[in-house]
Amino acid sequence: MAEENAKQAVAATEIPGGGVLVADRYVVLPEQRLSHFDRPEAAACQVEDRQNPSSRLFALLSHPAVPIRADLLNGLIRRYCPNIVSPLCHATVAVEGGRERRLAVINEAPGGISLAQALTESDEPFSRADIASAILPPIVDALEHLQERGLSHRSIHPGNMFFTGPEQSSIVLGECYSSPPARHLPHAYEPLETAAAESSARGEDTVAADLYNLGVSILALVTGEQPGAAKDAKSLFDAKITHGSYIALVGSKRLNPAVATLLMGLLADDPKRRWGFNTLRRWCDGFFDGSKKPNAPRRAMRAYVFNGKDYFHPLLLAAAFREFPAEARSDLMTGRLEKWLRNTLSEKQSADAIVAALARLEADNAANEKVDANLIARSSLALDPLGPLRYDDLTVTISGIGSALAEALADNVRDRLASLNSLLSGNLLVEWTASVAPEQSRYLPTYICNALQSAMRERGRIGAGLERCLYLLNPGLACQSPKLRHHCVTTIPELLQAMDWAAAKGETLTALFDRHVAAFIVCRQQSLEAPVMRAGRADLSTMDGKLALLQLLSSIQQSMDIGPLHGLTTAAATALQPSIDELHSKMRRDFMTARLKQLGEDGSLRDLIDGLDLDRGVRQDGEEYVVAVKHFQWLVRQVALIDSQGELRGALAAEHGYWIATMLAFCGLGLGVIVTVARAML
Amino acid sequence: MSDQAKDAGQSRKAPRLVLWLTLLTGLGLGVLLVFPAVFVIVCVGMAPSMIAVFVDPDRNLRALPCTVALNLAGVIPVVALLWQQGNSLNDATELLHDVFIWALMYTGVALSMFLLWVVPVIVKAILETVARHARWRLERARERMLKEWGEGIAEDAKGPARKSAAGSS
Repeated sequence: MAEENAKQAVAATEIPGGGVLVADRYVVLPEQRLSHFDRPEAAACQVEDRQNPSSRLFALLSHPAVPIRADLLNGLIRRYCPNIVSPLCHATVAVEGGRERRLAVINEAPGGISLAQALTESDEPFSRADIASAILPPIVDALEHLQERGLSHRSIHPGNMFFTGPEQSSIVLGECYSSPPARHLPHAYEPLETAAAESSARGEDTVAADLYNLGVSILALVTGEQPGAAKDAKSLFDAKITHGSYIALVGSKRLNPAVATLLMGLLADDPKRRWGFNTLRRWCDGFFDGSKKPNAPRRAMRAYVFNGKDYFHPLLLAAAFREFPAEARSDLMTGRLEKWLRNTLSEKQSADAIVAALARLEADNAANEKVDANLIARSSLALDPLGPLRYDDLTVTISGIGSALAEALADNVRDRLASLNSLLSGNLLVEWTASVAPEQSRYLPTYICNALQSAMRERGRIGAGLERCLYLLNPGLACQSPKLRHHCVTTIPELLQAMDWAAAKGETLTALFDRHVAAFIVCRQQSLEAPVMRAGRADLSTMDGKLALLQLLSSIQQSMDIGPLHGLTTAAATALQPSIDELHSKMRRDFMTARLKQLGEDGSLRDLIDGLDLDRGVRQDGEEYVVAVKHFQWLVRQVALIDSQGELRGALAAEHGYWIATMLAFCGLGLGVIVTVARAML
Repeated sequence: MSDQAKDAGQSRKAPRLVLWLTLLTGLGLGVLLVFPAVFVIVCVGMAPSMIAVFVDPDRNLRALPCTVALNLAGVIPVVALLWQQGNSLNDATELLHDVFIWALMYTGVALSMFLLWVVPVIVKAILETVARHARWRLERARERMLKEWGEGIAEDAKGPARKSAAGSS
């Protein structure tokens, strides 16, 4: 997925005087805002097309902390999907005078206003004819296309549906990738399967959920009111379970019979009974069964009393267990729930699941897991098998764990992080993914579960833990390192560039390599796991640690053919200077300092490491220093010896002096004899 | 050297000295019987060497060869002169009346005294100069090492000594 993301990203260059040129064609103008296309977590701005100046385009600038739906975005760019605002390409662009960077996704702009705006501008709500001719057919086409590709929209509401032109004859769905699925949908729009989940963790789900969203949207369009606006999330959820979604949302409103039939079909609480595309097309053509009555969820004949209150629906009981965990534990230990499920609701499978959950208590205790949280989570899943996981203070769907983790880490909510920590570490997640339907478990396949558990087992190490889970679960998420977050780093080359810029602004090399950076590299490039772990294990305040980090960065620069990184090499030179300063030999120190300065300006980390060869230099310096110390000791001893030999030299001088004098005397004697003999002979 | 060792050395040298003196006395008696005039000149001329033997036996044992050689170098020309004049006791007496003959015989002894004083001083000066130069070279090497390896090397060089001192204490 990360490679896919990197492939789809296109080159962006800043234009002098404002704007960013993307893919040598589109000029993104971040300063020229288009607020009517703004999304909750992405600001819209003007785009000019150099090849086709008449085309209407806009760009959405996503915040780096938001986990966008990268797979969906890349799928829509790769292959056109009809009747959805089409993303054309994406690139990272500088905004706010170059201080920050954002992911800019360039889209074709719809020609008309949104349906929500049309509702406010017009006194009349939409009619059955409008729904049948202008609204439903294009949406059905779009959703059918998405379903064929295994995707879902999950952001359908009147504010995200646009007319294609001023004539208002057809519509397109707005974008759906700029935030996690259904994150900003009002609670009334969510089907029962995901309604209990937190807004940030509703998950991908299937097109069946989109059809439910569509049903609520149509209700809003035909009534001109926001469905369920009068109720809070909990009471609306209770009402949906007790009376069914149709009754809970429509209430006593009088609707056109055809529209009422349509809504009964779209708002069916059982996804299997929800209308499909063929039924919707037939409805548009005027063929439908008008005698259909809304389905109410199954109700128990006898109430289950929990915490002093009667419960007739297992889903409500699951929600109550999440609300009162201590009481739920006591209640579960009595074994009443199993009997109620088995005898009153004839839910043999759920009853067995409760028995299994109670049997797991000892094993959880032995595995040092959160026993109560696991018990409540397993019991809630037994009561609400299609619903979210209720674990501690988390209520998440399988595909929503990633976005929930992203939000908790971004906001640094300690309690939620602790809950996520134990959820991702334990066996519950694996059990849950194994128990759900394949269309849900595909979002968290076994190999990802294993990778998550492996990352959590080594959570103390850099490159593992929650940070690694974050990037495993959110393949399109930018690197969340506090020092690089505003650079919107989505690929490893971008990471090195961002580190280079940050280093050029004075950040130290070791400060830039934090848990987020390490986890990001490991998740985006599996082959770099070993060097990342090596650098992570090392103490970065030591020379070996710094060299291990530089080896990692240089191998990335080399293997990915990234250009000169002057900021990083300068920071690396600064980081290595203390190690050079610690060398004993002044000559080597001066030489290596000069070499470091020269290599630091080249921008190549590989040349810096190889050219400096600091490791060998330090080793040689140490060896030579030992020899030098011994030689110094010898010199000191020799000087002391000379100083102490004054008397000896005196004695030696006398000895040799007498000997030389004697030799001279014998020479004199010989000379005297020769002279005497010579005179006598003459 | 301790006093006991000195005493032991002197006790070993004493019989050799007695042997030499006995030999010289025998030779002298022989010369006296054959050449009385030569005997007189030699006894008078070699008197400083004989005195040197008896005044400070320890010093003169090392200095004696030098003193005797140069004393003999002064006496030999006088003996040759005596031999040329007839080798009688009168000739010897005449020669001993000449002050230049005395000067000739004792100049050798004076020269030997000078050599025995000045040569050791010169040798000591040479040895001191060589030692000073060697020390200067070592000091310069030490300074170069301090400059190259820093002041820490001096401290580290003391390390083993400190350790051994600590170990012995």
